[in-house]
Amino acid sequence: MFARFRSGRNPDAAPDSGPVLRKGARPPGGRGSVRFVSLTKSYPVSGRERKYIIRDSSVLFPAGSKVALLGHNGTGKSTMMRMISGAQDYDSGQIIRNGAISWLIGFAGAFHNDLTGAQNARFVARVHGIDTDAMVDFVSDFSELGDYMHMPLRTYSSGMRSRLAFAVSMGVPFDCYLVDEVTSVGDKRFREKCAETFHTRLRESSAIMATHNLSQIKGVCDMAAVLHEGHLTLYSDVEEGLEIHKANQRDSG
Amino acid sequence: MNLLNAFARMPRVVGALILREMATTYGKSPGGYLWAVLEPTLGIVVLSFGFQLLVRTPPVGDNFMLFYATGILPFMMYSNLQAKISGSISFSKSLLAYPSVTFIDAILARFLLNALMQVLVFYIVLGAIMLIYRPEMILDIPRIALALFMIMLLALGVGLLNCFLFSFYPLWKQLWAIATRPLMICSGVFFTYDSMPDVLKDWLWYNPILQIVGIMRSGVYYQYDASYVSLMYITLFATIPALAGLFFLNRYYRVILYEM
Repeated sequence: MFARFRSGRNPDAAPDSGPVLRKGARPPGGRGSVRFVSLTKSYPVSGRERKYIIRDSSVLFPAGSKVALLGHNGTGKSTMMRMISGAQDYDSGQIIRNGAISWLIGFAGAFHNDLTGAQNARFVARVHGIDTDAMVDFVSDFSELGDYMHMPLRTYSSGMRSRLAFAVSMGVPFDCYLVDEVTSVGDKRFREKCAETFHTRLRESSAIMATHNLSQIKGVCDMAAVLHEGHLTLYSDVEEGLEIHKANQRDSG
Repeated sequence: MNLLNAFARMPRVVGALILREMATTYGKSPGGYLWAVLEPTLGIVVLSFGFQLLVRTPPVGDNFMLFYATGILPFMMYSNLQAKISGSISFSKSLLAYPSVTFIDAILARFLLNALMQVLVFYIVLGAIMLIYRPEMILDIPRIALALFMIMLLALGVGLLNCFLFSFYPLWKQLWAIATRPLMICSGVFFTYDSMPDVLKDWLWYNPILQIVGIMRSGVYYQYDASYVSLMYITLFATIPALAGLFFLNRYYRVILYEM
């Protein structure tokens, strides 16, 4: 607990064994960083065997870095994202989160069908201590939902839903954003607007993204974390991480 | 820093959850959240008129409505609150995906809102009986408040433990429903503890709801003396499950959310 205090506040904190950051960057253990301390997570498969998603791994996702989480289907990327956000339990070890960690960007599951888009946005604003009117203004401006902002959510199409969800996610300033498989929202112009806003948000914050979208990885991320057979390894070079990831995929057929 | 944050955060989150529950329950029926008070109130009124036809003279006092209300109101308050609290994790399941919302917030919000509604129901029903029938009664407010407090504590305790057990052992939910079906009969809604034969008394004493109904009636009838009540027993009956429930929920609520 005190380690968290110290690493969060002391600017002279000794750099961790993680990758070396560029000059002028803040301490790697500062706001927006996520640290795994000998983290283990497994789940039972047939019989008494257990499949390990991650086994005794210690990793630091440094503050301000945008990490692409790579791993082929079924390695447990989504489980790991939920563990980072604090929603899912792990077997042993510790996850130390520094600063405000987002929920999964674009998550619409917590919206209520009987509430209007504005009411849902207000609820999220209240929970996160943000001015509710400012939130509704931002969301209705960003999502371009128009009058639908004041209609119950059950009248929304799935596209409108994800537009609302993305706008609400962008309305809350977080220190670290979690992205699980960015959904393509709306038309090309709207997608560009989303990407632009997300980029502005990321100037100040860190991100951990689980995605297969190569152009997005190369455009946004400056680090890669490869999850393979229970080991999570961090690479400060995205290309290198992608190479390893491809090699892993070939090995496991 | 974390502790300070929690003090500022919790009222905000709990407030947001309460507003949301108010907006979404009964959201479609005209009258909206008014039904949260109207439904139990009308339910009690309809039932009591039915029973009034069967029982003419109550065991205590001269008004059946008052006797029945002082029993059924605490009982309904318990069963309603207990059910609401034990369902609070599944009710707020999707919201717990927000890192800022914890299971404590979800339970606290449900408890506060529904306790307030139940007190309102109590106030309306008892007030109406006093206005309409003007029965012979004392109004020992501290005693009545004690009974209300105890019934809420009990509902919270049992609800917390059940919140964990219902999610972890689904079979327990069925068993619980069967085992507590005769609860209304043996909670002293229709009779007084003292009028029971000794054989039954020995068993009935262990029902904390019956004891709380006793406290309630001793705050309403001057001739009713609830000397058999043990506040210590009720408190233990409420706090031990509450602590056990909190302990297990704290350890397992993430497991309940994604792995059950």
